[in-house]
Amino acid sequence: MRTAKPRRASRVSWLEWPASRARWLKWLVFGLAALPLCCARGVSHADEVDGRWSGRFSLLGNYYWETSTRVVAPELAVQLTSPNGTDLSVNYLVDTITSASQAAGTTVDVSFNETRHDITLGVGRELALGDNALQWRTGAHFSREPDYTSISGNVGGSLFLNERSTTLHFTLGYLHDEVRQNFRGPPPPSNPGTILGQFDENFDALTLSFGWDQVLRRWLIAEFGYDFVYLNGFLANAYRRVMVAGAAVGEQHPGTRIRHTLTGRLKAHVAATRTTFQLRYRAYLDSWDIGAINPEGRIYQQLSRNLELRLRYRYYKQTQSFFYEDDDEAYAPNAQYFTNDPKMSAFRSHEVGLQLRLDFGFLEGTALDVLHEGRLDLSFNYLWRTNVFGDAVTAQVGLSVPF
Amino acid sequence: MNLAHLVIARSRLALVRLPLALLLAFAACVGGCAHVPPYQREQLTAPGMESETEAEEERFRSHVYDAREGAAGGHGSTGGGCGCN
Repeated sequence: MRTAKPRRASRVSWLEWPASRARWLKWLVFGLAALPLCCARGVSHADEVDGRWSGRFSLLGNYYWETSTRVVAPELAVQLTSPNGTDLSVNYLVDTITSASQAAGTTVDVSFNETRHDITLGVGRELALGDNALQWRTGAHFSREPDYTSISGNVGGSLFLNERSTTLHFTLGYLHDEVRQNFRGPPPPSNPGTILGQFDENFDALTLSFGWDQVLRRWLIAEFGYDFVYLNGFLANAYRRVMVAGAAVGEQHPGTRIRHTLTGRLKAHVAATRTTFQLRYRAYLDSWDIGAINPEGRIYQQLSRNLELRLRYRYYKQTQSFFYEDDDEAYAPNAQYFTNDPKMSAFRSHEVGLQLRLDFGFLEGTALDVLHEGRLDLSFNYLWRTNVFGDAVTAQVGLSVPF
Repeated sequence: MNLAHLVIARSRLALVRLPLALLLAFAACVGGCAHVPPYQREQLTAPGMESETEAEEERFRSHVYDAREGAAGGHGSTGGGCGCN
């Protein structure tokens, strides 16, 4: 079955993303990424004397549940520091999602299972700059599932000033995602513009991040950040349908999106009670008129020498995008953009979380002494949401051992 | 973005900007950029004060937020699956 090609819903602007500019930016990001490996003089490192590698090995089990979706995601992470101070990291995650039609966005009630492989690599090195220091970092991320591939690279650094009382961070990243369709159950009815099984779209993103960490008191740190993201390409869902003029058609979102995010965090430690307080705030605005606020508070209480209790509360509220309609049948036949995406609606959520962290210090001198610097984390989070996704649970278990 | 959208966006920006400005003002009042020598920073090495120890466990939750919320960014996560657009 062959139908007409859908129009690409993009705005024409000076920020339009020609292929030549995308290629240029890719080379810029990956070229800068090579810088840390080329720099000659690093900061002196303790392990230089004995030629030892040090690092940390972590295993995590992640679980997510909501009415229509379950995700199980085991994860493995290794961080290494070479004798000359070069940091290497690798993180591998595989998630298996079981979802029903509500999340998949199809018009037929079907269940499906899908597996995603996700790998992140990082390299970094700290360089001496007189009394100060500069840490260069570069990273790459690759994620693949049957109907979605994402590849990204980033380069960044942290400048440590004033005996590390002040740290300035910056990151430049580039991302390329490919979106396909993998039909679940019977193919959907008319999907204007696609040849069944040959749907192939993509989008690119440029990200810029700046951060500032400041030690204010011997017990207080403040952190501020700003993220800019520019996206261009297919920014809708490949499956979700919208009723327009009585027919179910694929979503049409604008072809570009600009995101701005401001973040702030205060961290305070009270030695007398062995308590740490964190106050976080995130403010967001984008070119689709979605505005969001996201305050979060945390309390970490040391219960004993090896046991810590961590409590958190997170609030999230967002406004709707300029092309979202509560009733998706309200779209006019000549509507330029239409969506059925719950993420485009106005909603709010409350989340509470509880975490127990057990340090293995009590294993020192026993047969399991090799683990005595490690720790075990158990966490449970419950989320109340006012949109169609409904309530959700996130649970994690993590084992981390340094070597 | 037309004029109406620009006006809406700016008014919303004012709403979200206020708490952040208060946070900045608080930080400035509490200590400004006072220098804390390294030998006085023992409390700053408490586990809850180090962001790196939290990053690992927050990676998965950040991915969930990206997949289920319209606002993304600010927590270091990137794309990959779930239509995180």
